[in-house]
Amino acid sequence: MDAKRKYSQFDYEHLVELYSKNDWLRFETNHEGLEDLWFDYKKKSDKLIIKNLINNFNYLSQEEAELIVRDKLIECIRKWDLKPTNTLFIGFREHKFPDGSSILLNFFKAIMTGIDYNWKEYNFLPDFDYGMGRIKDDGFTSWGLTLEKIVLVDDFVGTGGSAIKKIIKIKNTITANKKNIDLTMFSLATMLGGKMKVARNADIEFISPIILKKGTTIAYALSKRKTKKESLKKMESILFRGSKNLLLKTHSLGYGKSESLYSWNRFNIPNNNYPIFWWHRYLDGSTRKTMFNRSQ
Amino acid sequence: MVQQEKQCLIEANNLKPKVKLYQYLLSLGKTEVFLIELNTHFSPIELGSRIGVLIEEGFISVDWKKKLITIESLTLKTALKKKDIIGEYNREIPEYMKGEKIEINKPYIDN
Repeated sequence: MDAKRKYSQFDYEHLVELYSKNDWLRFETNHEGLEDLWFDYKKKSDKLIIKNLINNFNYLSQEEAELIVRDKLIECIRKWDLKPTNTLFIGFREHKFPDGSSILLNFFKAIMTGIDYNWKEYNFLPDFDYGMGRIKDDGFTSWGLTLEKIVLVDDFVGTGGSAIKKIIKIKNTITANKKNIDLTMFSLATMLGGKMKVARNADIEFISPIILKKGTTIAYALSKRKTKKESLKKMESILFRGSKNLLLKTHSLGYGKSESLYSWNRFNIPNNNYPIFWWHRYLDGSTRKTMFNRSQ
Repeated sequence: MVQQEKQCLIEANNLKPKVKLYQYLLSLGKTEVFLIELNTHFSPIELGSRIGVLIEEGFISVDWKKKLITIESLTLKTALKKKDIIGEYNREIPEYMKGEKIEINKPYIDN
């Protein structure tokens, strides 16, 4: 926190309320980030929008995630008849760098070992293409795993676009190899719009313990949503316009206009969240300390 | 910025640290205290954190619209009892931790 930070009466009272009602904001990094965001704006109406969004933010701690995931995995095991000898959990990673699905799969690995020690490392494959490669070879038969079930895994489904592409790709591979494999999907958190899009475009059983609505839908009455969205777009005017590969306008109100209010801890927040929470440069290109981290 | 607000500007590095909120509230000798009256002793995060605990234990209530803390009237007996409750630091199990319990490494599936 800036030691010389000055709080007006308005700032003081509203920040106290935010800290009192949202205990996750009290963590060191989170409260510094919040106050930097708060003081990025001068207008009271803008600050009240920030307050309202934060009060409706879904901040998932590691402890909460562990219990939610464990309970849902038990449900999946029962419902889909998953066994260590017939199942592969396959992540969404398509490049050599770590992504959200790899983190979640690592999490799965520890939790599943707690449920049944017969689940092994080779049941959890973060690399999508490598996982697809196991379809042709029927899993890992030499290790006693004959592939009958695939669960696609991602940490977050926003618009649903990536999920649909992956589902179609893997279905085509199953068909091309003439295999009889049940395909299902698990996502830790999913935007309601994305879930509906997946349901419309891909015939797949899809479980997600956290379903999220758009920020302005949760935080405001219908009559106010349009003006609040306009205000949020104006609030993005302090941010750098972006480069060819990462344009602010494609992330206005969150990628695909998702308006997410969700983060699993504070690292690598989905780009479907409002960019005021994570865009790391100001309009003039200077560095901006953000409330949440996201590799850009 | 209105004049009233100019007067209450504070600097975080001028705050007096480690003041206990409930003791301070009692020392004011009032039953109602506006949040802003506490700005010279507590930063927003300090006050927000401590208020939460006192609300949970029934020592105070806060009207967030009026930005007003009300100190609940307690008899000596109930006050001492509540002090004991806080002193114990018993952590309650949050709702999200009350899920189905499974013994670690007890096989869930019979192979």
